[in-house]
Amino acid sequence: MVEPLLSGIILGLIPVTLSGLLVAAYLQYQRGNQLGL
Amino acid sequence: MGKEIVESAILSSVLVLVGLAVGFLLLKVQGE
Repeated sequence: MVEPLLSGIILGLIPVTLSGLLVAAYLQYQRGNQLGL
Repeated sequence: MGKEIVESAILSSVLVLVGLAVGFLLLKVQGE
C-alpha cells in the first residue's frame, strides 16, 4: 500500500521547503524588511 | 523499497531546485 514514488516526492519536498523558508527569513533578518509593510 | 523512496526524494528535490534556478534566472534576464 506504500507508494514509493509518492513518499519520495513528499520526503524530498519537505527539506527543500523548510530550507527555503529558513533562507528567506534569514535574508530578511540580515538586511531588514525592504517592503515597508 | 527504501532505495526507491530515497531516489525519488533526491530526484524531486533536484527538480524543484532546478526549476527555481531557471525561474529566477529568467526573472533576472527579464529585469535587465
